[in-house]
Amino acid sequence: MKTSILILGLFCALISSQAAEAPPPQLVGVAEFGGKQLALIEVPPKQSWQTADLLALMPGQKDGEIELLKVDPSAGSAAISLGGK
Amino acid sequence: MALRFSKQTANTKTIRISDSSNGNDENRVLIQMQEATTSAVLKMHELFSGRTILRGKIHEFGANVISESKVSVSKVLEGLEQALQEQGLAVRQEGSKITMAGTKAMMANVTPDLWQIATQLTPTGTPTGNSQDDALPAGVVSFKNTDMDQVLAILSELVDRTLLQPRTLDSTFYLRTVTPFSKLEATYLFLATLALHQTSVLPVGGKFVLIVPSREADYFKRLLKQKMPSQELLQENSTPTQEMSLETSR
Repeated sequence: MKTSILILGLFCALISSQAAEAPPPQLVGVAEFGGKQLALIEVPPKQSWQTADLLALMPGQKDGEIELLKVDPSAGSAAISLGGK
Repeated sequence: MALRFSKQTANTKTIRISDSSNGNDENRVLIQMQEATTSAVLKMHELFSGRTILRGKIHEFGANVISESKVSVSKVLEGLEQALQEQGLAVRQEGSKITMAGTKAMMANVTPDLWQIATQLTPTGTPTGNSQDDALPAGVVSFKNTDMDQVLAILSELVDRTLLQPRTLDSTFYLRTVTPFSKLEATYLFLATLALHQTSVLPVGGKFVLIVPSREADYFKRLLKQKMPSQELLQENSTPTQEMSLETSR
């Protein structure tokens, strides 16, 4: 009996940790001007009561956990490092 | 981690920016926005215009804005504004530092007399707003989903007046200053932002401001013009005894 309660508890903890995981950042805009590049990234909120953050970054710039590594305005893509990963 | 644009949905409007004029390529822009929210479009506008965005509480939509080749900054701004207009939003430039965005009903509340009220609330200011006395550096005001109460508390500090609020008003604000503002300009910024949120600020005597819903502003203006027995209490030159009673009621 105790074992089944323990397994159920672990299962619930696993489900809730997955539910709390925020969706990944979303690329919403890229631009190139005067030889510089820029990406506009929407960071979804971690909690339901928060609102999304909008980060305007140039390659090499960092805001919180997000560092913009490169942008390709023609291809509409960007590469970021999220918390050093 | 690689980021790509999310898939376009069929009903998202696409604004294509083109520019037939010749110009120095160094000053031209290549831009792509896909499924961008209202906030993202306004953020891009802020980045390329260098102007502070004042916005009412407006819905978030998805828009695509694409330049097929390098275009001038003014064309980029036109394209972004067109994306907002396609969603029924109006965009208006105010002086050299402010762009306002909101529905037509919100914009109707931002009237020229807000400058007069701002001047009244900051007596050392000038109507042109050129004075850099008591300037607020760029970025000092940064509201993100900020409650009305917090915004009003800062306004009260800024104009050094006690707020009179007959009823609780509920709204949340987004405002980030990207240029320095004089005290007068900052006061105007707050009045205009509140106006976009259907809230009016009415000076009462030399020490108070009344905060009311814009739809009731005319009623309160008429009321304030009426001579009331207690009116002298609200004047600056009231007797020390009366001052004491007002101070304790703050």
